[in-house]
Amino acid sequence: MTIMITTVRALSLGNVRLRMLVALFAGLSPAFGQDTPTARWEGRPISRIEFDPPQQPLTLEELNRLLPFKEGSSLTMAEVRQAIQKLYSTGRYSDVSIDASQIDTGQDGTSVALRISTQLNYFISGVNVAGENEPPNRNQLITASKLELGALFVESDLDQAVANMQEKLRANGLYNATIQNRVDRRPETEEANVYFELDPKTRAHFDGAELAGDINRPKESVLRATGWHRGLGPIWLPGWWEVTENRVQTGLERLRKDFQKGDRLEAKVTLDKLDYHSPSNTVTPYLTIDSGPIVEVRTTGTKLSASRLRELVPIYQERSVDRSLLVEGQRNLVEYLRSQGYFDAQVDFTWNDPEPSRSLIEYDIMRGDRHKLKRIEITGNRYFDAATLRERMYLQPASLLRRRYGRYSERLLQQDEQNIADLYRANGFSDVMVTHKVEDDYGGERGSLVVEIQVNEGPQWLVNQLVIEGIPMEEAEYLRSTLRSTEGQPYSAANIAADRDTVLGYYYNNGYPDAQFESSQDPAPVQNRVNLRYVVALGVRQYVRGTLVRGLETTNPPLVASRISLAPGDPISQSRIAQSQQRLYDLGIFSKVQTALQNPEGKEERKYVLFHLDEARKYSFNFGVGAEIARIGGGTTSLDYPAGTTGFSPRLSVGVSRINFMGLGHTVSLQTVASTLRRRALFNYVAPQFKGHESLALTFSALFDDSRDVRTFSARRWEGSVQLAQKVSRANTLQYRYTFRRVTLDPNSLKITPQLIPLLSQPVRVGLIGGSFIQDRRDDPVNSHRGMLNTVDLAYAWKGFASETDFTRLLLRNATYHPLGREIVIARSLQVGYIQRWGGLPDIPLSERFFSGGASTHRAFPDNQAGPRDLITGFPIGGKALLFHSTELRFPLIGDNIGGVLFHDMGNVYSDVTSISFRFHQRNLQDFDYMVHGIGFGIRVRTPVGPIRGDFSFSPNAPRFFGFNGTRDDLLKVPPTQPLCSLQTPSPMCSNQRISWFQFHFSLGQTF
Amino acid sequence: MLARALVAAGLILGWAKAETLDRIAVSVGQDVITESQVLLDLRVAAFLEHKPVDLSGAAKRQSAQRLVDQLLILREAVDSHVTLPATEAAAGLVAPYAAETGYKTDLVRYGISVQDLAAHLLAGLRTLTFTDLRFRPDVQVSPADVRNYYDGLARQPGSAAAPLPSFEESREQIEKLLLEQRVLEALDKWLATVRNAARIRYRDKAFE
Repeated sequence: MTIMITTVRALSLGNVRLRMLVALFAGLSPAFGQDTPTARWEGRPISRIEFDPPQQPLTLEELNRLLPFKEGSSLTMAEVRQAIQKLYSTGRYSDVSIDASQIDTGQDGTSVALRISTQLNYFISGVNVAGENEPPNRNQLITASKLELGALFVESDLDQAVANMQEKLRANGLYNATIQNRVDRRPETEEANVYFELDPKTRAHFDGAELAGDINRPKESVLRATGWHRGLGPIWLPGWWEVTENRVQTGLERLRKDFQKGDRLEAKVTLDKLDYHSPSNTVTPYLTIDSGPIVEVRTTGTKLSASRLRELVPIYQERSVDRSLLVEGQRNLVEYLRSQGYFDAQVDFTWNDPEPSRSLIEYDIMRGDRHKLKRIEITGNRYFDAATLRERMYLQPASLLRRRYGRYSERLLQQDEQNIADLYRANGFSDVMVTHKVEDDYGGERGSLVVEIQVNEGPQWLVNQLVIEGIPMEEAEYLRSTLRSTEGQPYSAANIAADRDTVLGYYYNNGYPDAQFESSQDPAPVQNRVNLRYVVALGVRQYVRGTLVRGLETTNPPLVASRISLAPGDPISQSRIAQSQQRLYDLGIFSKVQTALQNPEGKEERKYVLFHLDEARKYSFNFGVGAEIARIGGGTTSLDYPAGTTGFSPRLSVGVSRINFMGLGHTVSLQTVASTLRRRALFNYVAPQFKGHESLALTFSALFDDSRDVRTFSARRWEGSVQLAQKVSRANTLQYRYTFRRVTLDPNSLKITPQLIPLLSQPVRVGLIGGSFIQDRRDDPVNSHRGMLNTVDLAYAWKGFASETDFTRLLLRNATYHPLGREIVIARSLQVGYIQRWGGLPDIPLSERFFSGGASTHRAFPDNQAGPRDLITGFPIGGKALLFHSTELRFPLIGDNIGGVLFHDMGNVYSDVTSISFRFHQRNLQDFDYMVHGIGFGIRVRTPVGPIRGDFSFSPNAPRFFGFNGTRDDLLKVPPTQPLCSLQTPSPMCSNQRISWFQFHFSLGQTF
Repeated sequence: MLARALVAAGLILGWAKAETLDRIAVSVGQDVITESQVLLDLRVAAFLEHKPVDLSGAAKRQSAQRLVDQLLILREAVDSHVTLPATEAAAGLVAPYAAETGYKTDLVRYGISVQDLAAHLLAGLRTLTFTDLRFRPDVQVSPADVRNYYDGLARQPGSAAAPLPSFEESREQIEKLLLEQRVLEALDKWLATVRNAARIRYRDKAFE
């Protein structure tokens, strides 16, 4: 390079000496230039153009468009060069050359035939690893290979990929692992599918550790801390663990923590090397340990607990001491004190080393008087109301429940001013000024603080005219409807930036990956108005050449193809690629869906879109152990505790599911539960996105259930159903189903009047056609703040559907959620149910009746204890109608994660729809058709899986009823003619019982 | 059948006499420098220096490297919106040569056109302009550097025989020289980095 620069420099400066030299040698230099291809071929007519090989990755049409010459035109060397450049720029070729040969054309002389010889490039369409012994897992190895999907495949990259993978394997103790590779090439699509076959060999073990540095303890203690030696707690077992990357890092971290105990915050453990011994296949880590000084942190002026100090001063989290961390600690302390009402708090710190191995950090705290942010006033705002501005503010006035002193600090105040100003600026108020005034001891009340935010809005700048250039008129018109900065709208940098994103997003998704956007503005003749000009440079449009799906093993290719919404000839759209990727993930059968453009850097108009899919493991198993503590106690045959007593039921669940059944994307699963209350097995066959329709899901189910969750009886249920679910819109879902079940009740388990046993203990066969409509407009289904949920569930049982009895069952539910301010929510729910018998059996079978009450319906009842009860035994016998209404006031209680609820539940299960009553009082011990009320208080603890709920309820009119004093055998021995538990004639065999006034429910999720 | 065979034979014979018009010599990412560009560069350089055209493999490779550097510089200039001399500037560069006797004959003898010469000189000027704009502002020469250089010259053997001009007389020249050197060093350093990142691939066949 130096030579060139010097020469040109010399020339450009008119260097006389060089020109003299040039002149001197001019006469002596022989001519070598004339005999060039230019001289021989330039200007000759081109009679033929052919490609070698004839099969090219680009179509003839594309090739003709790329070549600057055509048959019949005259040859120029510049065009030959241009042709090579253009062909190479497509990225499709690794080499291009052009040969010429003379063709004798008779009388007219000679013409030239051109042969364009090409060598293909290949692009990575998949990286596959087999034979791995985790760790590292397949994905870690693929990542380590650094071979990117769609990128140009270069042979030398393969060696580097193997080296990278070897390094990853060595880090995991697989020092002798070997990697074989092969590349499957598909010339027709220029794909290179790379396969790595691993032989991991035996994993190396640790064999100790070499320690250096400031250790101050026995070596054995250090080794024990690493966890690299086998052991069971403090017991040292023979042998060393296998080496894995995670184990090495965990060992180092454990050792570091061990050394950092006793305030040696800066203790450092460094891994110098891992020394591998081939004969023994063992590894010795070489560690350097620096214990560091003892770091003591103190406060003066105000006492703070050690745990609070650890929370606020980040040196404990960072395990390092430096000035910036101490300053951050200082800031945190100030913020903490201000959050406690000490708005004038000031904190300073000193840091010194009184001894060589001891650092002392002292935070000097002057917290000042305690204040309370009484009020925030906003003045001068006309364009935005105060509520809108308050939503953007961090400052909060004191409130009884959450922030006793409010939230205030200088920093937060400045941030709020900035946020308000930004909001105004984004809406065209470029001259906005936001200032504040803080008044202490407001109204003579010591420590009372009032903050006044003063807004001086200034004029609003509006867009006078928007001109869009560089794109077709109709597109400009369409885009105009999506832009913020249109005529009459506020003019702001934020709006222009949003418009830029809108415009570029539109074109990126319509095949213009190189689209560019520029904006400029001029003052308009009208005051406070601006003329805007958007210039869009589109660049070359790119289209889909085709889609390449790779990585499928058992999945049906048409299933995948139906999820890809890109077809050859479509403009390349990143959003449609992402959409297709999401739809493939939604199938639930792929663990990884990678997408890429093949030949991303190539300048070609049509590109392949690659989808590389990793199929997820086919089988998954789940196993669970749990227990239920509720009012589920009481003997299975005794008639004690008809309202239940506290009981404990351990539970075991085991499940298996097989996804992507027969490559169709369907799932087969079996879930079993066994507890002292229930044995249940549910088999499901789910065809999601049925027949390629994303909105449809078909489910076949078979259920065996043997339970006594209703205390009155044990039921054994065999059930089969088929359901088609249709998602009509984002909020609305329809479900259509047919259910057939046979339920047998154990006659010996029935705790009802003996005369009814023969009737109600009969096995029942029910065939139902039904449907549900679900409308869910809640903002958050787990913890709703606004919106509503409506469900309608209608089923019809008829002999034509193989039912023994004919009836209709309707269940309606409506729940709405209303925010009060930012954090308080009023939620209410109404449930109405109705069963109408049409024929068949003389009464609605027990198993088909409504049994309700409990944590999610009416908290004044234990589970399934609402409604009519047996007049003698007092056990619930279910009803044919239900009405429940719940109201909840949900509010924050402590901090951000613990909330409280005040609730009122009312309603009951009724013997019939005509018996629904709002009556408060129970008429007598055999009257259950009245409205039971429950009021209470609940606590919600926010967790990642939804709120954990505890509800305590009091019912002023909990039902009373007769219970039978004796065993079931005693009851059966009573002659049918003997009156029992009559209101008129008290019997010693009957006792007055009631559902407890107080109930406690503990569960997961909001009530509704 | 016979006719087809004859046509095929003709084609084979035809292609046997085929000559490679051009091929890729070096690729720099998605751009290429062809063999004909390398040969042209050598011919123009030889013309400028009034030397025989050196078509050895080493010379070709050196020329290709130079063209790669020019390409990288041009790319960077475009990306960083550096304004380079326009095509019209080439006329001024060619003018001194055009005034020389035998200019046109020499062009023919070396197999180059006026446009080739102009493009060659313009590329050099653009490289120089870019170097000046990009690297010169960051390069500084302190008085101590100038002094050290002068002292170094003074200590060189033989300097006693031919006494150096005084430090004050030489200072400006030394300052210029050091500045040039450091600019070129900065350019070389930058080029080394850019070359590493540019996926440059030489095709041996073009350098045989």
